[in-house]
Amino acid sequence: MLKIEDTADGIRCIGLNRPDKRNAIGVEMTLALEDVLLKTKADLMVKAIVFHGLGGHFCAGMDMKDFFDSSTRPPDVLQRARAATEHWRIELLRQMPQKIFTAIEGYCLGGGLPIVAASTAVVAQRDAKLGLPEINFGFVAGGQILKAVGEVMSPRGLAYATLTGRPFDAAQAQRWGLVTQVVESDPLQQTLAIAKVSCIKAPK
Amino acid sequence: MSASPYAPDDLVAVVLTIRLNVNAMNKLMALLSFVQADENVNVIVLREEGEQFGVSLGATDTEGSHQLVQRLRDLPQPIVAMVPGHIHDQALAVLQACDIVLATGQDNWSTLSFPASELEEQTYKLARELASKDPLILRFTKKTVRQVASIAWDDILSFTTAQQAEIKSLQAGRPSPRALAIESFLAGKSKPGAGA
Repeated sequence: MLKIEDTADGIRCIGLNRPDKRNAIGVEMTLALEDVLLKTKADLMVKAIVFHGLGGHFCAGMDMKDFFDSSTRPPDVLQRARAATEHWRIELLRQMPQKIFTAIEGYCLGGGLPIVAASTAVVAQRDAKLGLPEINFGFVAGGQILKAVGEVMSPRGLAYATLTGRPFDAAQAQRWGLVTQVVESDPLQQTLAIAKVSCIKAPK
Repeated sequence: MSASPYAPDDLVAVVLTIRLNVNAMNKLMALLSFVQADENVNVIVLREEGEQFGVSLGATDTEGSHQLVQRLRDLPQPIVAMVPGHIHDQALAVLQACDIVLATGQDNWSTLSFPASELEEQTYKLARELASKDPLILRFTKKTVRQVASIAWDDILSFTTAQQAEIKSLQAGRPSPRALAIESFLAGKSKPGAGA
């Protein structure tokens, strides 16, 4: 579910690795995210965290099949997964002693956005599609997601994205404050470069 | 509720156009009270005749324009403002009460900008698109976006849980739009993430 690699510079790369589902966050991935963030929080050797997605997309949001009306997961498993999700997205991401950096390509939707919001810098490939499509699924985007996103995104952008559910591109995301830099290709390479400089110049 | 105060051309489907009018501020306040309680209005387009936005406010005293802004802020429906060309200083507060601002200029108060020739078409396209969404979810989404910044992190989860319970009780007795939308997505019939 996650591809975790540590570089010699002390950067922990956390790759969302469920490419056949565009890295949608299902039960196993959410448990793995809680686990890696808990371990990283206590790891003094890790100086920075870089999030990215494998297979051409960052994250399509929460997995509809696992978490919503049609879920076939046993209630106790779902309950544990929901608790883990709120733990990492409300608590852990905001408490990490390391700076977080994120590379985006392809889709970056809904439940993937708290990671973006918790990042010091976000590099997006030009054709990336960001958005809060919850309203198109007939529900209100979670307050915890909107609060996180609203801390970095302009109120105008947040209202537009949530009310219309329309996706928006990397340049628009940059204008609205969600993305730091737009690149033509390989956002991960640029994100790693920024993380590396940050580790040398301003250890958190 | 008394008879609708809307002119036939103003309420097209569930999108209501409100035109700021220098001579009719009192009428406008009464209209907004009616709109607030009108479940047949899903989306509001706020505009003014002519090339400027907010001229009417220039002719109103501070108290009057404060009341207007307050009344607009209380509306549960999303407000799309259409701003062609210049904006009158006093109208900035009005825009603050609007959710989405489509303009010809790229200013920090606008959401998106379009050439003057496309502005009206794009405004109504967006308004109709919003109006096609589940009206209850649309209103709750607006409320959430407006409230989250002032809710403490420690309280955000209970806010979300309470809101979900409220929506569920209001939806009782009708098919869940969420269940239908997710079923359609999982069956490959729709792509909500792509904007539809």
